[in-house]
Amino acid sequence: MKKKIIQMLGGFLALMILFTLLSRAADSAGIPRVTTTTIQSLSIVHKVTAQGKVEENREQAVTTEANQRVKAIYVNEGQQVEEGELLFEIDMEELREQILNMEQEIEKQKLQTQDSLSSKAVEAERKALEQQRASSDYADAQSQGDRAVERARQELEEAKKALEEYKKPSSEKQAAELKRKVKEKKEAWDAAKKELQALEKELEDAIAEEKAKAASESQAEAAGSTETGETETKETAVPTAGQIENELKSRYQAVLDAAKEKTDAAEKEMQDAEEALKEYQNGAAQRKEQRESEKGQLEQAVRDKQAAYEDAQASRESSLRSAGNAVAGASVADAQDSTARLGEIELEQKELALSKLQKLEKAQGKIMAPIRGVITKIALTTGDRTPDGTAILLADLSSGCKFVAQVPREQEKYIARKDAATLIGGDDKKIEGLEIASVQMNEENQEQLDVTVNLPADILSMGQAATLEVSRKAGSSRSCVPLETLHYDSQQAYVLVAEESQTVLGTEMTARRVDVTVLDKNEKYAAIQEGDLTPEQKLVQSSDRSVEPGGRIRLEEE
Amino acid sequence: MKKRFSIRKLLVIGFLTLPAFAACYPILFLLAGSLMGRDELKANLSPVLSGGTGFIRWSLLPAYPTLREWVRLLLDTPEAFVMFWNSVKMTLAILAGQLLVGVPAAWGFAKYRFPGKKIFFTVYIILMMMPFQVLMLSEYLVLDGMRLLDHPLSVILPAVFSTFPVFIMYRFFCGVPDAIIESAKIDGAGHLKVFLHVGLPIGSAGVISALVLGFLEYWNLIEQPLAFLKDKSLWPMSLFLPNIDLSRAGLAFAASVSMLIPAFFVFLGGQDYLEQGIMAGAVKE
Repeated sequence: MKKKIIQMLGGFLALMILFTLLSRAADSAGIPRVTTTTIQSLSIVHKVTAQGKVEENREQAVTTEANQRVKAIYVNEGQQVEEGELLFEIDMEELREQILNMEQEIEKQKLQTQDSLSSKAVEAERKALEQQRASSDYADAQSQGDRAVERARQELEEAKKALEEYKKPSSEKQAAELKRKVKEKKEAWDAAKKELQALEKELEDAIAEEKAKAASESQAEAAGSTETGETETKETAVPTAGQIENELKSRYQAVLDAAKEKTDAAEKEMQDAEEALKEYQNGAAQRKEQRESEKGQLEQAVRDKQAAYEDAQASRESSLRSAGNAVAGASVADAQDSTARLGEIELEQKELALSKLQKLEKAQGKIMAPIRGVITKIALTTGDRTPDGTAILLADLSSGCKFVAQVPREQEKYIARKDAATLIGGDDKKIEGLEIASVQMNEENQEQLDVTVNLPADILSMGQAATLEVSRKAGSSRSCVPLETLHYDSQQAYVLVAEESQTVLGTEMTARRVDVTVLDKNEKYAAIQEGDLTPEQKLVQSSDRSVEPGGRIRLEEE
Repeated sequence: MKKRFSIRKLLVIGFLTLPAFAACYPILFLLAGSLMGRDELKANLSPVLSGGTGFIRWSLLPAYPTLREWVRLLLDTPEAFVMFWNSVKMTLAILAGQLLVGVPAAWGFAKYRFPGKKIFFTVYIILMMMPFQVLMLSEYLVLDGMRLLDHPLSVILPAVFSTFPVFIMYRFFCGVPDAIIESAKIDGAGHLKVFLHVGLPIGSAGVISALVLGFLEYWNLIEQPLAFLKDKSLWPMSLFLPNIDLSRAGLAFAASVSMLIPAFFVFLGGQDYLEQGIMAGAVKE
């Protein structure tokens, strides 16, 4: 039993040994074998290579009159022609027919133009006459209207005056005069009455005085008669009261009577005046009625005249307005009529076309090459009509040609105007000493640049393919690494440095990630920031499988 | 024989099977886990390993059994084998050292009289009682002074001079009758001969039981290598995958099972001696 257990334990350990070996083998098979390199001191040369074609520098279009029948074409596309060489010919018969047609049309046009000019003159005359007539009508209407208005105004003035006249002598004045007289008479009567009353008072006062005097004298007489003897004399001198009164009354009678008479006369006068006033006032109502009706008639007359005056004014205005309208209508300018001028222009154009056709006829319908060049396009077909635009396109040979190639836009910074360029033709012919003429964005593809090199004449033929090479040397760097060593993690560049590290399996090589800053690079090398890497560090350059940062690696024996 | 299986006995057996199963359950747990696929493990373990909610679910039968993790462990993980062999080497070295040092020490304590023997033995027992954590710092300082840190010897040497096996074997050697030693001496045997030809054969059970106990202890060392070894290539298997995450949970299960197997065999082989040894440790004079 124990033996068995020990055997099983031994078996287990043997199994473990086996699996140890197996897993080691599997593990080492899974470790990438890498080759390494170190940083180098290099200068990065940027080489831009691009395929392109030789193109003409300038093209010239050969045109002729449109709508001509092509009789014969003497050239082919790509053919080189000398200046003055016959390119194509057009049908003379049809050309002559067109010339005739054109001449007839010009004649017709001339006639039409003349007609329109004469009718225009007649119309102008008629118009002037009409204008004149209208202005004289206007003047007449104005003078007539003025007269009528003046007349109406005078009548109105007269009517107003009559009314004013009638209003002036007023009945109130008469009445006031009568009243004033009555008042005067009354005042006179009152004065007479007062005078009378004063007189009567005076009389009574005198009577009373006399009576008092008489009383006192009689008393004194009575006393004296007892004392003295003078009583006798006095007795004879003293009258009685009745006597005195009568005496005074008779004395005053005349004056009183006169006053009374005067008062009566004044009263009478006043009564007369009152009578007259009353009489006048009685007749006044009747008179007033009569006057009112007369006044109403006069006022009516004024109103009528006023209306007549306003009517006359209005009628003058309206007749003036209609006459003015007639004048304005007559003086309105006629719509612009450019028929004649247009006809002239058309005529000029036709004459120009005719002259061109005639020129073509003179050249016997033969079109020559204007310059020395290569035919690049023929837009004609024998027997068909000539187009409106270019008939034949010529590449100008005298102005040389250019080489155009496309390079990706990211190489923009390595290629610029005035850079030295080398062209390699199809037969490996190297043309050096050329210069980049322009670097421009391609119109169709924004990701491409058009690079143009001007070529001297006759170096490469038109349409030939060639390869452009441009090299630019950047400053040398002491930290250059082959591009294969560079890896990118989104935007960050890094290299893998082979380093020894301690793992459970012992000392092993692992690939440590070191971030670097790429300063410049070409298609083979990249210059990185100095200090990112040391010359001793072994950079993983290639491996037989992908290497993860931090993963184990095995260095391949060199 | 059948008669003896009375109902009462069946009940007792039934009653005892339950805790036995509970004791064995973790091992079944490990076996099942090593056969589970990654998805199943993730679903079961996510509450602890990736911040999920709820409790771990577990079943003794994998829903989709796979040997994937075993293949991964056995073929794709050479590190595990490095550690396995580290464990083997370390354990064997310790046990060999104990044989060389501990057995004579125990024989000496058991059969010789010398001044201070009692005091020494008491110190031994006190040291045996000390847990590793108490001695760790002083051990570290001593190992550092001897420039042994980060070397396998830093684990091996303290274990070689461990006092526990001496104590165990002492008990067995005490059981060797003095009469036999006397007879051997009379027959002309020297001290060494008496030890080799009389003491060892008679006390072999004690030696073996000490070795079995030692194996089980040192096969599972964790603190010592963790404290004294920085170089991971020296670590024993018990430190394989110190941080278990979900992607490596299956691997951890498989590794644990493979770790278990040698201990299992040793246990089976040394079962009898183990019991005797434990008994020797338990019964005090």
